Amino acid sequence: MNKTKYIILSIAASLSLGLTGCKDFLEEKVYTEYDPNAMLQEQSGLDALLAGAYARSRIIQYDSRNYTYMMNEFPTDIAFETGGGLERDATPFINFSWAVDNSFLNSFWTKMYQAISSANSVLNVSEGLTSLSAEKLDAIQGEARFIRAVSYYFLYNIFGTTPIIEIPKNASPSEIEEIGKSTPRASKEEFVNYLIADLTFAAEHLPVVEDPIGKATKGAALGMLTKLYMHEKDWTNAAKTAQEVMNLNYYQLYSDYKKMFSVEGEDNMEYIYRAPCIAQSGYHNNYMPHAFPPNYPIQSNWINFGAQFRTYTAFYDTFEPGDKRTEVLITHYVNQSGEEVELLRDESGNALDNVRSFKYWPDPNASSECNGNDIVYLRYADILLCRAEALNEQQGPKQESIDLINQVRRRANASEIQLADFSSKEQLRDFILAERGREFFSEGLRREDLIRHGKFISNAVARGKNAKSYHELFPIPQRQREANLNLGQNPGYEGAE
Amino acid sequence: MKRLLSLFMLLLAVGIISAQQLKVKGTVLDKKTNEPIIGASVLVKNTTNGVITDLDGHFELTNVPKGSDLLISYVGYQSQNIQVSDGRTSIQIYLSEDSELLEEVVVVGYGTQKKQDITGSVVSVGEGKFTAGVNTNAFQMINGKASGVHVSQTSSAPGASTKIQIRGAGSINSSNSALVVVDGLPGVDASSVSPDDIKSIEVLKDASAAAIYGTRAANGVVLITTKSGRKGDMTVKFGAELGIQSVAKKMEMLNGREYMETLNALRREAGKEAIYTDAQIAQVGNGTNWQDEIFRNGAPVQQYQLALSGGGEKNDYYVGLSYFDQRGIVKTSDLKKYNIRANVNLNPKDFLRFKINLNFTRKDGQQIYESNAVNENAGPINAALLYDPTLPTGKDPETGRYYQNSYIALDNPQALLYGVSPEQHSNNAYGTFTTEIEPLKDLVFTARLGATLKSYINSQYRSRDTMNGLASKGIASKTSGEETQWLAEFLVNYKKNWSDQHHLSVMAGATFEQFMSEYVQGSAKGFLSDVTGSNNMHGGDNLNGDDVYSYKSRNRLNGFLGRVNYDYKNRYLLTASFRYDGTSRFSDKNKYAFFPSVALAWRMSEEPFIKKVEQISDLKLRVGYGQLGNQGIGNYATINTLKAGGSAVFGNQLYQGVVQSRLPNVDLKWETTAETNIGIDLGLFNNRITGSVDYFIRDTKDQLFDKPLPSSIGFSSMKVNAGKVLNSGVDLMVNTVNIDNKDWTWNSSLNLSFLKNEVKELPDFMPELITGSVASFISGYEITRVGDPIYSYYGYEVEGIFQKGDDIANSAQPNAKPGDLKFKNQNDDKVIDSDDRVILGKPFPSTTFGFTNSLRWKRLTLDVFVQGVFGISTLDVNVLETLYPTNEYRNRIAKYYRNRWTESNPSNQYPSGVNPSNYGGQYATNSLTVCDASFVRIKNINLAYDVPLKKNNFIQKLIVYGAIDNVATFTDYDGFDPDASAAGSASVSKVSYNSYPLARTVRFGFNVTF
Repeated sequence: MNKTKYIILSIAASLSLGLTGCKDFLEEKVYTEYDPNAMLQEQSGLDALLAGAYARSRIIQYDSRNYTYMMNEFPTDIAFETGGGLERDATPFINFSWAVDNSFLNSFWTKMYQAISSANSVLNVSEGLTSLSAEKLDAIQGEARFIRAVSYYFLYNIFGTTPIIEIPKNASPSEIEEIGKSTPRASKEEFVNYLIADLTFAAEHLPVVEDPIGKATKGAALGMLTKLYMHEKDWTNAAKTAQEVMNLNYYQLYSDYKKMFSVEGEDNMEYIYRAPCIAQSGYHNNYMPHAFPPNYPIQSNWINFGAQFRTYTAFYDTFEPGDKRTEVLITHYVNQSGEEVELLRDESGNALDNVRSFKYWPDPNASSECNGNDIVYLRYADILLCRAEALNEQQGPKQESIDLINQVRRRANASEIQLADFSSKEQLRDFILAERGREFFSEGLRREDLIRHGKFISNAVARGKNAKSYHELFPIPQRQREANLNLGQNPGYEGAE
Repeated sequence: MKRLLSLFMLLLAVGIISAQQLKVKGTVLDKKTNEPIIGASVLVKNTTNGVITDLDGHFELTNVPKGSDLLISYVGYQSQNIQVSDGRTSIQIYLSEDSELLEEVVVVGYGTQKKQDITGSVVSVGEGKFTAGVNTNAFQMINGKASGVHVSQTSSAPGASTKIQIRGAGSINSSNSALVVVDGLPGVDASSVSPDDIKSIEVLKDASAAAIYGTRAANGVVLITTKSGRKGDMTVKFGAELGIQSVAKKMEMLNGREYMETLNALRREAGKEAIYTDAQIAQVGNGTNWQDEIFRNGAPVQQYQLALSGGGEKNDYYVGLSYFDQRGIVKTSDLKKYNIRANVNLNPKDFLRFKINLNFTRKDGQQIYESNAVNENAGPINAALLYDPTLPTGKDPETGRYYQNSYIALDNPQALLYGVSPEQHSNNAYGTFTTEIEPLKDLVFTARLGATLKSYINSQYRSRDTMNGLASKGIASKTSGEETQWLAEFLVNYKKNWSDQHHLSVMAGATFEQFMSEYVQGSAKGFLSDVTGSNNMHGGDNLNGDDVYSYKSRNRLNGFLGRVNYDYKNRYLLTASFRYDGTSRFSDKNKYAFFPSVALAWRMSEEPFIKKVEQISDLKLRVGYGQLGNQGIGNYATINTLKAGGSAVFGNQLYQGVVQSRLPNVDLKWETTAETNIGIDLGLFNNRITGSVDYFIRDTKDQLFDKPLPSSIGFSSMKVNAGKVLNSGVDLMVNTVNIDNKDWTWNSSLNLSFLKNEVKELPDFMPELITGSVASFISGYEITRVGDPIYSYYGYEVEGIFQKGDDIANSAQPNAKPGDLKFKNQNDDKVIDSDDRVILGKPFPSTTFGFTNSLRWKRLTLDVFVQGVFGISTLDVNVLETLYPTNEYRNRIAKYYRNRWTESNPSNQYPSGVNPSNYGGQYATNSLTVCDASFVRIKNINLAYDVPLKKNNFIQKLIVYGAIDNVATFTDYDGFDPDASAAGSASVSKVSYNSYPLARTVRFGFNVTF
């Protein structure tokens, strides 16, 4: 029938009209992202990938609040927090009641592994690039391996050993996933050796001069290696590597302790490895808004958060009068209403535990919470004190240790110590621990120092915390253990074997 | 014209009439208007003996056997049977308009169908049945009118979007929003159509009806049909309305004196010094109620609408113009909306038709700063609730700034209201051009071209009045973008009947659609002065705070579709459809998917054995099954890309970096919903009672999931298909004509829905999914796990309050103090920890109803609409902030502190409030903060008067009315509006946080037809 033909024809016509070129029609077009195949053929692409790895490795803004303060300072004898919405989250860290599903720990794990993944991508991509000189490639790989090792080191500091992840080039998504799902935590030996290999490679291939500021250098690699040996209590290598940093003759103590942490002091030659910050959201240091006491007379371009970071009076008392390092510790102030506010002790002499550390001295050009002060991970004073400590551990009090400590104390205008004052290794060890507290408060080193000295737990118990020896490590995040069944839990925590 | 026709038919009828025996005289009148019906047919039943009423509605019929039935009928009216008895030789017959007519045509996807032929579950709400009110959005017009369709107003700010959920929420991670199709153009914004231009709204609820929309139909389809002209003279309609809005409910916070006393008491009980002296307390009185400072009572809302329509032999037209102007009940917020629509139909030839639908909407809105953030980043409503009530309003003459409590870490409410000025301007133009060619009778080719062009500029300036603005010397930001969409579709329709028993219609076609989105966003800081606002962004300090961002994306859809409708003897109906849909978002492997549907219906009332039962006027049984898709994921999920954003600072410079965007999954495919629907349509007593019942099971599988990956590979998640959610329920609708006579009519309409949502299956890698985040510090309050509804609230059950003398040391909360919350130790271990969490509620209702009563007395009509929502909860962050204040100085909801636990008031209901961290910030999601958000609301009362007019008056019809919206709400919920949600209209989850308050509106208006 004529009609039927008509219909069939017309349906066929419209269908064929539709089918032709549908594949092209449904092609996914990418506008605001980059095609890796095109981009990574050139060095500019590799540089961008490397910058991405740096960016991910940087513990700044709220990550710094979480890592430097919540995880590494609030469980110690230096500082704690009250107020603001943060109090809910800070309390477990102050009271040793963190749980396996703590979201801050999980975020930190994720952040560090993102940096490691980016560093691994740089390594994978650089391998195939024939257009670059071997020297240039080594330098790029040195930077990538440095970033990778530092990220692992920070993880190690929080969780103990974690899985060592390497992704073969051109692995499919499911292969990548399988690696993540099955790789167990590395043994201590494997883990430490992996980091040593990375840092040694980096030290060999990186330049001494930090140009521009924030780039990985030979000194940074050696410095982080020193810290790793200290962590391992490998005193011989720690002392040796610290000496290698010193032998670079590149670093020196900055004369003005207070200025060093301010924006003005960023050109100091004491910082060995840092995250440069600027007063721009996302790339900033937001320590100060947490440190200003209530109603503090802040500049109009600053802001004062409800969350308040407070320093213990007992810690403040460990400084001797005249120690310049106390210049950044605020013990009283006149508030905006013109009232004098005491932060150290009340009228009856009771500790108020409300001293404020203004270490990252407010940036005059801050924009709201965004301060531009660089965040330091490692500085020369640490290397000096590490060597002093390592030597003392090897051979007991010796003049060299005393001299190293005095270098640091002299700069702070603190009285010099004498070898004669120390009759035993233990005595000097305790002094070094206390000195490290005075030197590195607000820099997130206290927890690892206390742990190395075996005082992290006893110290917390003395403050009335319900701390147990297993608290020296934080738990492996529950979320990660669910995703990787081969990931063992640290002893003492839910799910540990 | 009409009269001529009637006269002709009368003559015709007269010719038919033969010999006469018994004479019956009478008049046929319209029951409502009391006006004669011309041309109504009066027929002796089962004979050919009949007449047609004349110009005055009179008829005279002879030769009527005694005791026989007269059947009186007229198009658009319900037919009536009258028995001819001895004494009734002169009768008056009132016919009432039949709004539930089965002949009614219902819009379905890619076509229309007679209501009687519908096989799926389709609700149609037409003109005159819409939910009245200050509607800026088409969804609001069916709020409470369609069973199984849950409409909620997540914010009552002028122009805020509306949430619609059809038969629950099936998707855990994808979009749960319904597809809106306006006059055949899918994807139109439901707020870009003027309510007065809408003729009908159809909701395709079940999969058999919606499957023709394939990949976008998973959450139901809302079809909006706008008005068109009718042949005849031009009709001019004009309507004007003025409303006065006021805040329906304020929250009762502690007043100045109570605030001071409470803060002092809390301090003393914690062993600290009091803050305020007795003299200060004596002086403060009630202090400042900050809500009064930011709310605007008596805020006007005006609407004007002009509609012109008409048509000739070969064309018809409808033009609608409307203007809407609403000032918000929170100061500084308002919305102006302009809308123009033109619908033109042209039929130049018998075989050729053109349809043009064009709409343009312009919106100018001034918002308040609404934010789910906390502290100085929170909005004015948050601040008004929590701010220090002892401070005076206005600016401090000494500092020139709004009064600040420098301990509270919150900005002043007035500073946030006047110091932050978000503004939105948008243009939305869309339209379709449809060509229909009918080369042979009942064979129609349709080509439809459509496009949407939407552009917007959103600006915000934060002045030095605010803390953040001051710190940055003013912050300006602007976003400008364009969203475009085009559609090209080609359809073929063919209809054929055989021997009047077999009716077949076939439709097939192909569609192509593209969606593009592009925008640029900039922000700058450090302005010389606040006066230039966001209009002088280059006048910023050009330092680090400046930022610019741009974005562009495209996705495309291609579909092939087909449908067959067949019925036998109008009794046995079959509908089968398919759609084969493809998207650019999936890899070549899974680009296309097939979505079939089939539905059967049996019109039992056409069967002789039912026809005999006089009470039953309509009875239809429907069974349908279909599959729907959901591609509600972002672009690029299946490909590997690098993205910017990994920039690092070296020195004081930013160096651009890139990072891998994701771990792609080439296997990604459509999330699929399969639904079975069984329904019955019933009409009783000449359709005086009509109704329908539908039972559905809706199974959504292959959910698009963010599969958690071991983060050690650098990615924390990957999109995969896994998991299954089941929604099942019953939708019920009953319409009754309770009274129907000359002076009185009373109609009732009830719809009732029951919904059960259950997660059936989760991927093995994710036994539970804990989500939710609001107000920066509150997260992880909802859980999705097998056996429970999706996004259920998850937290601790409060058992009571620890009392003095309780053995606290040996309880599961050994650190608790008397007055602290006591949580139920669900697993009876030694400690209250995350294992003690239980389900505390769910974010969508299990039962909803809408009940409309329309009562007419002569020319006066009273409509009352009541809605009810049950079995829904919300996390009330305002209660949470009250129990766990972020800051000691923040104000609190009064009732929790007036009745708080103290030594002298050993309450077992509310905690002491002393050192709230002690009863656990991590326990903040608990049975006190997750509140029941069920409510019953008298949504609307409307009184209208149809003004009597002289015939042939210049004015044909005039209706004046007065109405009250949101008359009363009955609920246990503490906040402004249980319906509100800070999670927004696109989210399944629900959370209450500083919602824009609900308005009670008194409206007056008139509609006049010339």
